[in-house]
Amino acid sequence: MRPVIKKQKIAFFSPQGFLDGNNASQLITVQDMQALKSSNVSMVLVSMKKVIFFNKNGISIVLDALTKMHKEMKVIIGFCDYNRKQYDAFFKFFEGDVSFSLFKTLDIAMLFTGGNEAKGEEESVLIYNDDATQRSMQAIEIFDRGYNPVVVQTLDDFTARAEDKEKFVEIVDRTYLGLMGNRIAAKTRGNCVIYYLKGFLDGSVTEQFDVMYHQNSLKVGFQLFMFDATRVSSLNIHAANFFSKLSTAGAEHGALIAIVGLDMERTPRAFVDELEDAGIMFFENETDFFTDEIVQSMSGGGAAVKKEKHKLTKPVVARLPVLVSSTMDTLQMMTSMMALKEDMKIQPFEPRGNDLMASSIAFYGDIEGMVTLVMPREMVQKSCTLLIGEESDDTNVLADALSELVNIVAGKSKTQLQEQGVNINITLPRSYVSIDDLHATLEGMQGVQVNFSFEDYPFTFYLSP
Amino acid sequence: MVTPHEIAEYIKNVPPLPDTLRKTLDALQHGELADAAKIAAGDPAMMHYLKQVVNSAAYGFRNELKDASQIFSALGIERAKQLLYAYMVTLIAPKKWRYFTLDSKGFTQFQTALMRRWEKIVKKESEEEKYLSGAAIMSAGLVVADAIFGDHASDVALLRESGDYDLDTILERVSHLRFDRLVTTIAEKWEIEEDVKRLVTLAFGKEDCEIDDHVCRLARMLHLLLFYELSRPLMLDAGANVFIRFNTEFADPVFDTFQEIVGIE
Repeated sequence: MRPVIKKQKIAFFSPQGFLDGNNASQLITVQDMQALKSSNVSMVLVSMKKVIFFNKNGISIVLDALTKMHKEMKVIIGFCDYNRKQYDAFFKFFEGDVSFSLFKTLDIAMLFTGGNEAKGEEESVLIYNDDATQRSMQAIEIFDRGYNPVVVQTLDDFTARAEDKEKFVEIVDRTYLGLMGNRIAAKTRGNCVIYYLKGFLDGSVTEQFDVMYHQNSLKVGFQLFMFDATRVSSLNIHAANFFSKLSTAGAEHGALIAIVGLDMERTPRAFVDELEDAGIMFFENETDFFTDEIVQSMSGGGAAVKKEKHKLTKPVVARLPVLVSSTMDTLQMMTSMMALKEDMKIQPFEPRGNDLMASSIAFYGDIEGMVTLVMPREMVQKSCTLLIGEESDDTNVLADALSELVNIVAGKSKTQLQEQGVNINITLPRSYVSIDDLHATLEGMQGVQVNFSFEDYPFTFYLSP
Repeated sequence: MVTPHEIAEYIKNVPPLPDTLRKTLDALQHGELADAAKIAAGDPAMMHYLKQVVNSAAYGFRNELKDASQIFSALGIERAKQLLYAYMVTLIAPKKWRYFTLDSKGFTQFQTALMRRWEKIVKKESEEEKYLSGAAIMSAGLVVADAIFGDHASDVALLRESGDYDLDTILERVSHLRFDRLVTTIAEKWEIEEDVKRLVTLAFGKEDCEIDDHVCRLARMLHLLLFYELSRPLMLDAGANVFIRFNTEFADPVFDTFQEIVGIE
């Protein structure tokens, strides 16, 4: 069974009906495991939402496959979307010796991967577990991901606090953490990617840092990277070298790297000087960082350090028909509307129409570039009906759905290019609810702009370096 | 993807009951087993199917049933009707399945297992035997799904990578049509009894109904049974587990009884 991949962070299998010793080996096949290896997800789960019956044999077989992935891919493994009876059954089956994780919902699981975008400055998460060790573990993991954990000790307290739903971005209960990964947590806030560091930083930081995620963020136009070092005791030369190299590599994209909250008294001055020479900025706290003039000048997506200009290469342009046809096929499928091509030019990005939304996705491998789809909000609503089930007016829902749409388009392009012997990988999509932000990202670039109309809606496909 | 017009065309082209089949069913309706056997004997394709199924391990008859009269008398009226509808479903099934990785042997295996367990449930629930045909008609849903999504397998795969969508949900979102309605339309074309038609419609788990209503209770059982069979290795491998959405709330009230009847441990 093919898994669903959510925000390129979690892969989950969603069987329906019965899970037992006879059929469990068909749930996660060798091919599924192979395909997931190249996906760079950090968590692989089995959703129990639509499972009415499971037994120990079935779960043990599924766990064998999940454990294999945990060992080979260093991912967090477990189950999600269960009811109380199912939750209790896991502990009964394994007599308390549970090494996998259990997340009451997929949203809670997403919290532990850092897959959600931060909506505000201090986001609180209510945590309750009847086991004190679990409560502490969950609080630490939640804190490491940039949230403010509110831990309650008793069920009565939890019930009372949980009534104030609006105060919390998530309420975590009936959740159990097994073997966790050791990747450095990351989440985005607006145009900024925030990484959360902890402990003493040494050479192992290179293994814990998700380089691919960072590179992908650069490719889709993120230029602000903040390393939250408030929980770092100190660092050694290897860690300093790592940050220095990261900053130098990011300069090509006009990226700014900042370290926030580092204890300067415990950090050798020479390291700080070296990092400053490499272009890294230091701030005492998050507020200083976000209110800094240079940082604010980049918050729209534009670079303070001007981006090194790239040009579209011939091999990319040669594949333009594949990229365009994949896009149009997908959009026609999703909207049931016919598209009419109007014109195509090499030019800087020029928006058409009002109340526009956009989403970009970059690709790299045999060819490199970035595809941006721009359309009116109303068309986003229509296009995404298939994904969200109904027309929504919620900007966050639409932005998420648009990201999924671009992801599907990129997936289709990837398959079609593969058939022609061209191999690419794709990044995380990035949605823009304001066209000014997109303008800032594409500023100074010459790309191919292909204009279409979908019945009455203007639609732009933009391929940039 | 698929348009409502294409689906309407497909449903329009589903054939009505062939003459021999209709006459056989008419004879059974009047309780004339011998007459039904005589009429059926004139249709070699139908006889081939019946012989193959009743002599399979699933039916477990001690001796091989060789001719129509033996088959019909061994089956009885309602089981014979069930098998005739199952045969009708195989007539509209594709020679080569395009969406599901199934072949005719695999489909017959699924259909037979579904019908045999359904017989057990209907008997244990002390329901009228006329409801036996419900399982056979239900199996037509997979045939319809394969016809609709056969040309769009890669699009569905892409969609399913980004969300947990079953085929019924995709169908509803792109065309405002659902498999329960499509199968009911086919059932109407095949002149299935109203009560059985209602059972099949409800068994898709899309409409709520009162548990006190005996057809509703049976529909919940049939919904569970369908997913029990769609969870078998053959059907999981075929990609059929995502045919429609399994409604756990709908199935839950009858689960314990189902578990006891089917013998799940």
